[in-house]
Amino acid sequence: MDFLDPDAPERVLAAAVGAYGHVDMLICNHARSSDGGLGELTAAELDAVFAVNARAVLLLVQAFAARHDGRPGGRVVLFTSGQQLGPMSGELAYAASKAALAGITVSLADTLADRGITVNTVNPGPTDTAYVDQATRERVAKMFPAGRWGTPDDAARLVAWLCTDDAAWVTGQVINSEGGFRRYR
Amino acid sequence: MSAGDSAHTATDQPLAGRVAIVTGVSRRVGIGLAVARRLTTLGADLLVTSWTAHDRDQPWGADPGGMEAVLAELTAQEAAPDPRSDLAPAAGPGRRARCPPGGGLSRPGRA
Repeated sequence: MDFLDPDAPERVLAAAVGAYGHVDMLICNHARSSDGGLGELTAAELDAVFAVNARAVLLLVQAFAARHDGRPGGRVVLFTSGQQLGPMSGELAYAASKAALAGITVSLADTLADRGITVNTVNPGPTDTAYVDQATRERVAKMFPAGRWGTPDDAARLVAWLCTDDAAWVTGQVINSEGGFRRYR
Repeated sequence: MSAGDSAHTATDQPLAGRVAIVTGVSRRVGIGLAVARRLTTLGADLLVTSWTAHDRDQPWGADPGGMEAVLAELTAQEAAPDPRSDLAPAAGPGRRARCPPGGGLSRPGRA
């Protein structure tokens, strides 16, 4: 599903309701990765990153809200990055788009709170999804007290918990789950 | 279903009967698949989306096994230990469907 397509969010919700009859939870995990600092930005790439990472997520939430039938357990989970905790100077477009999601979390949570839908945003911290070279992998691992990167399941456990009834009282939060990542060391 | 079964389900599958959309489930090593695996283990029915064209453009590339390998992680008949994690079983009881790139189609089925 190409979220550069402005109609994609609506199609995703239609597919979910078509397959199962209703929808309870929306986990917006997708992202367009984009490297580039000042001097490297282009209007086209900024537009693309914002479209996939921010515009599509808001449209997904809107389409989800339109179809959610009010039953208990409604959940929205978004993903942000660590841009509010330290500089991401080499990924300006990506960081800006992820800041938008962190910044809009409280407003979305308030909008959907009366319907029992919680909205929370997770910053999983640096997560080993095989996207860096070995030297970087080893260097960054030493910046964690545990001596290792976050794993995908470190993030997944938090997301899964947010989706359970145990997390019903948690909404509007940006949760940093980074294993004590020492970004300034 | 007996009352005992209901209690069992509420404890072990707290998301049974609930439907989750997870976007960005494109690689076996990714966060999206880990989330989908956790949710299906808790009993949720899933609709996942992917866009492998983006991964192909990145240094890490698309999953070498293709989307079939990614989705197979969610459709295994028996939960097996994930070699990359000591925490997550590979599959759960929830149903799953993939939203194809064109949208509009779905393939729900009991995992």
